[in-house]
Amino acid sequence: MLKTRIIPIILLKKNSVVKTTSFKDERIVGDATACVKIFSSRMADEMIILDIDASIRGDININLIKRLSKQCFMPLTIGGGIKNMADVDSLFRAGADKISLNSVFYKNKNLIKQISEKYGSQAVVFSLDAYCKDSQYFSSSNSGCIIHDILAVDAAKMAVNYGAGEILLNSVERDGTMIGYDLQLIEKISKEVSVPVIAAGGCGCVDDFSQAVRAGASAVAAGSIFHWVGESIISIKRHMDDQGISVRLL
Amino acid sequence: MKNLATQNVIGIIDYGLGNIFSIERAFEIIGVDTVVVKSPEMLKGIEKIVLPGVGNFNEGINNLNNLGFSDYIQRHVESNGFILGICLGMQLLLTSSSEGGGAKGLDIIKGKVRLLDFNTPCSVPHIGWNDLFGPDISQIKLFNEIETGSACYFVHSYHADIDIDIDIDIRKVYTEHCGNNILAAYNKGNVYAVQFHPEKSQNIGLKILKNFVRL
Repeated sequence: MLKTRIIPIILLKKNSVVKTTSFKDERIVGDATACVKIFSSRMADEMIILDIDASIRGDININLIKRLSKQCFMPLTIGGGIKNMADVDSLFRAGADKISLNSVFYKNKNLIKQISEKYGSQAVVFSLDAYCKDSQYFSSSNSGCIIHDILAVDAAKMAVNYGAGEILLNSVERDGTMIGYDLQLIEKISKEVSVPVIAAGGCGCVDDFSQAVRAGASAVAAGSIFHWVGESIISIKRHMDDQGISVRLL
Repeated sequence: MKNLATQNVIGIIDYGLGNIFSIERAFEIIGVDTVVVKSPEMLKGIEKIVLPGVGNFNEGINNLNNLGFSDYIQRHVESNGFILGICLGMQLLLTSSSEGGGAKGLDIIKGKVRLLDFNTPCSVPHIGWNDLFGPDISQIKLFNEIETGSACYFVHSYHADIDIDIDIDIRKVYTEHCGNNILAAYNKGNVYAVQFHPEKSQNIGLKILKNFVRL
């Protein structure tokens, strides 16, 4: 039986790992290489690395990604600042297993199609940052700065139609708050798409993971709980196992 | 006589698709020398070849044909050389694929590559850690000391559907997704193939790669 994945998200800014709250107020939490090494040794199921200022800088730090992927003996998703196929090719060469796209999707949906045609749809993750306005979920990009008039659920469906093989679903408001995942959002999106949904944004305690899975998430991602609480992946898995959720216990 | 210097080196075929870097790195961890080859000439004298790959079947087979690898692999297998196909590499060894309108594969193993398309509601692609099982597992040298129920990392939308009426002497390992058994690995003679990624499957994956080196 397929196991529910626990995925640490590492946000990069230059060489540092940062943590944001509602996509703002970055705080440095450590060195990138050290952070990747720690998660690798703690046997996470996958790792997601997002370079949050690559879009603003206008380039991708391939050498850093290469150094990090060398330390990461597990499936690795890379995102941030991807503009075209040349970026994508160089990231796969640098050790990425999957590519995560956010801002570029709203300008050039065909990039998802191009990547999925070359590398397969299982290699393309659509990173959907949902923003709640008037009790409706909208899609947003550029680190939550631009709110689009496309509903989050429509953006998800569109991305899947273009060839995305997975949705990394984040809630802008909940990011870094540790008040729990937006379960309603997870339920809404995972019901409407056939591809796996990775829940992100708001996880603050071990039970939050199980709740996201019950709401429909195929995998659960988090940042703060690892950086601030120091919760270990194995204790989260034991808790989920007790709740009857299939996890890789090693 | 074989050249001892090249005999123990693993040749990794680079045909422009997939995460070669991770495979090199995994062999490096277990202390095995590899050489990444972009042309068949570079494979001469190498006994064990890895055919990796992430991506589109059509693009994969076209690249293999254009670079001259297809013929080399056929001859390598006929002369009892070892090969390990990983993910798309596993699928390219089959007769054909429904991906990209029935493209022809290397036809070393009889079978067809099909989309994971189930009658039950199910998330596709099949992404994540999943258990290995099947009666043949203990008989395949690649899975030496790997127990039934060990979890490996899968990430794929297509699967290998072996024609068991033709290839009766093929050994198979399965995994299960949404109530359906999917082929996770097969072995026939010196041909080994896995749908999952040993280079991403941590200790169990490294053990499998070690077993390949020791064949």
